[in-house]
Amino acid sequence: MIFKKKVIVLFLIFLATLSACNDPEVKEINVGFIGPMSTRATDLGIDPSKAMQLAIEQYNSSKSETQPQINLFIEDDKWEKEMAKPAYEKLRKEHNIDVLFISNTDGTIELQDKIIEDGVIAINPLNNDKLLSSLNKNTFKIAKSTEEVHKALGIRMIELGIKKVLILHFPNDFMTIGGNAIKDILTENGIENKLIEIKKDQTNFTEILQTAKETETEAYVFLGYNEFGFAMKQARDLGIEAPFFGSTTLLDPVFFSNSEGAIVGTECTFFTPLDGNYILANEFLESFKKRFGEEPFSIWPPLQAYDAMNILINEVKTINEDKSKDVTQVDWLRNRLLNVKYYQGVCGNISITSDGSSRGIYFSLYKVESDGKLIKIKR
Amino acid sequence: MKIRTKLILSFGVIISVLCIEIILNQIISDNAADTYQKLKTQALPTLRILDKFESVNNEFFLLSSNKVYNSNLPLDSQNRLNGILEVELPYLKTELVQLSKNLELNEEISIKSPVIIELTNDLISLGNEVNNLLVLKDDYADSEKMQTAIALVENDISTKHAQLKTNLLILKVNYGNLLEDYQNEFSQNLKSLSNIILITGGLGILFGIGIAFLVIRSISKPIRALNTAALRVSSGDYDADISLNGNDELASLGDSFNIMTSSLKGNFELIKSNNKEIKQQEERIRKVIEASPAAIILMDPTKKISLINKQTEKLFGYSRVDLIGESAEKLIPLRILNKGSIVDDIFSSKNKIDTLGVDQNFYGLTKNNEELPIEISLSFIEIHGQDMILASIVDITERKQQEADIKKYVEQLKSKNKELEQFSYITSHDLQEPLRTVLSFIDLIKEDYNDKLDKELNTYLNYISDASIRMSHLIKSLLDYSRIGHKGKIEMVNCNRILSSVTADLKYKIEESEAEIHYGDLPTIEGYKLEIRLLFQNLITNAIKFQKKTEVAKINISFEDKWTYWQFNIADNGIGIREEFQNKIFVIFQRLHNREAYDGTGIGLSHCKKIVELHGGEIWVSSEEGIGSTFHFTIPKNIE
Repeated sequence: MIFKKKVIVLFLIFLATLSACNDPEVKEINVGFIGPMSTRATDLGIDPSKAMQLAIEQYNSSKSETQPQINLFIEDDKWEKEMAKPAYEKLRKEHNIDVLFISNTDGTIELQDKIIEDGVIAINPLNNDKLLSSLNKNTFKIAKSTEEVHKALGIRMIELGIKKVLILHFPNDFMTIGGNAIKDILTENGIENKLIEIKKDQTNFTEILQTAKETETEAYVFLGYNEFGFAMKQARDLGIEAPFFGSTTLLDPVFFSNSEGAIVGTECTFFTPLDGNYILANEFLESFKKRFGEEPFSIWPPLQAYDAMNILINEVKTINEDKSKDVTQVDWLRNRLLNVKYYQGVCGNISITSDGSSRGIYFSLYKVESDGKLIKIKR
Repeated sequence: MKIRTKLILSFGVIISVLCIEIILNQIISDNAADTYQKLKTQALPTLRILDKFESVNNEFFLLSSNKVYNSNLPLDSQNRLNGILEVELPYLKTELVQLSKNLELNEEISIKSPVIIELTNDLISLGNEVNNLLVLKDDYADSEKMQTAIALVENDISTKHAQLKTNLLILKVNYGNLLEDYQNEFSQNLKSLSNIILITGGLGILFGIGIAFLVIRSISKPIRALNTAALRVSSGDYDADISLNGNDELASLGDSFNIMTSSLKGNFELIKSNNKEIKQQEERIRKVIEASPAAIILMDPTKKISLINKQTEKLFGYSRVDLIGESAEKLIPLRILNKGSIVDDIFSSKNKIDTLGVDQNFYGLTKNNEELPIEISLSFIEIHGQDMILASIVDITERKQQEADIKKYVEQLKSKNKELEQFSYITSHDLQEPLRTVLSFIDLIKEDYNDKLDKELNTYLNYISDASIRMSHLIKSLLDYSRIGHKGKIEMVNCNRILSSVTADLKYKIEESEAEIHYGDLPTIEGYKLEIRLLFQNLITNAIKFQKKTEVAKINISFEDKWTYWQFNIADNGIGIREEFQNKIFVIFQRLHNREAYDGTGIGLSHCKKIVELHGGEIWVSSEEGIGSTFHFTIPKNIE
């Protein structure tokens, strides 16, 4: 009897040892997205979320048995950094997310400690700047370079022979970094400029604009969101005929309506299929339209988000084959993302550098022709 | 040569050809796979990277040159240049390193990859320098910047580009040649493979056809002969022997065939003989059935008659045609059928053999609607899986008459017997009266004329008195004999108690004779109590009486349980009975000894016999003169 018991105990130990040796298969990867689904800059939230959803659906529908299911859970931060933490906590609590996509630079910075603590990989699919690159090792930026994009605007103004520039920017990191990039290049080239940070909900810019007009400002740069539609209208109402420049956010429909058409002619940096992999980008747009009934209003956010999500999918789909039991999931995924050297995406050929930022997405200069329409500027 | 050997050899040759083909195919396939592997992992990836490298190198040089000489360089071109510098050239470097790692160190690409990587790094660095120099249109107006930029492009970038291009070109040419060699080798392997398949396939087919022809020919001829012989046998010609040459399986089959035909012939003759015997047996059985004194009817489960014999026709007056296929109920009077179908009863009790008509009145119905008493024995039998009833019918008209006669005689006998017993009783009883008168008068004479009677007359009177007393005893015995069983009733009789009572009654005689009586535990039996007591008393008295003068009588009473009856044994050590007298002792008034020797009436054993027979048992003696006798009697356990 005692012998039998010993045999049973040994057998159970053997089974336990066996089960301990097997690295449990990853069945699901939960991905969260925190973005502006309402209030402000919704073109950076709604369509990118759809693009990510499309990428996940395409993967889940064709994945093999051994590949993990990927689930997407979305939270609205109303483009406010204060909203990032509650949204993240909710995603972690309710869905135990493994990877977080967040488009707001301030929000990304806000969550730095939490993602390291929780072992979550954060990916910003819209912005990629030096500030973000200086953050922790779990943060990746699969997007255009904020500084370069705005530097291109500065170069454009220099090439146009503009001598005095007013730069107004929204009080967040992205627009601040963009404004500073413009300011730097202008200053380096001896162009007089003034960088003013507006208030978050400011809609009346008459005083600033009136002052700029009086000081013979030759160009106006509006780095922000739909509130600057009012500024453009107010500028034209003040009789300012100087050219307007804007950031990548001009195609928000509210922006146009707030400007009452004053936005037409504004030059900005933007990204269209022509700037990336034209064939893949058009395929994506067709799929997007087929899935959601319409094309995205502002093209570059969903294009970048689609690439960012597909880069993640391209790596995690082999997790059950490639990840050894000695490596944690977060370490494995971080290492895989850092080794992305040549991903042929809709935005072009993308690589990820050692600081987690990406290279390969390059914006061009465009001009607003009408509501939602841009034309490329030739030098 | 045996067919098996032929087939093994044939297939052996074909399999050998196939094996050779497989081995050659395997060798060449391995070579082809090896070549293909080299193509896949070595030549093609290397050429792909080299092509891409060359293309990017050329594009980079064009874009950088364009950038220097075109102040209106479109932003798209600038972006592309940035893409090459930031993504594509670093990626190609990584790919080249990876490829080198996967290849052997002595591979040309592995040897040259450090040079290519260094040149690429230089180009990236130079490209970034040009990019940084010429950012704005104004930079193009800056002669110093322009001079530097042009120098960078025309000297440094151009040189590095050319060096890289040369290296790439040499590698491309070499790997192109290598690719061509591998392709040729691969193609040659495939061609060789194809030739081997063609040649060995052709040889295999030729061998196959040849062997098939030989084997078919060696098989088909004997088979045809066998077929012809088999057809002859099937048409009844068992003398159809065949002769096949050789010592293969078909020749053996031919021999077996001959043995088979011979055996068939013998078997058919045996069957014929058996059939004849069967027919004879059938005939015998038929004759037995026909000759049976009883009428025999065979019925099927639906009571339809399927067979009858001649006696049936005779008994019932029907012909076979009238009865075959008809219901057996046709032969039973309606009044009996109305009481319930006897045939149905019989069918409901399979395997039961029943008899109708014995101890009961059963009648058959003749064609003339006459009833006749019959006795039927019904037997359930199974013929060819079908339940059947075999009825054996006997006309018992005569027997019935005999039985009636016997019954009449028995009644008459009983009446006579009764009368005789009555006569015996009356006679015995009435005879006592004159005897008593005689004795009374003798007593009176003796009493009244005592003084007048002389001695001789007294003696005569004594003789008359003794004779009368003896006659009285005889008459009394006779009366007792006739009374046996008249007033008794059957009851349970405890033999131990009976013997106890008898020995008590005979106490005086036993003590006087010093006889020893032994008996064990005796059973309780059914019987007439008084008669049983008398039976034991007579036999014990007999044993005491006929004892030897010189020995003490030893009487041993025992019994045996004989399943349906009890057997009692009363053994003594008396004088015994000579064998010739042993049958006479049970006859009434039969004496073996004179009265002077042994007193008695000579009716005791007759009583015993009558008592035993009254109970339905038997009595007999086994004895040896001078040794002793044993009287045996049996009493049935169930007395009717």
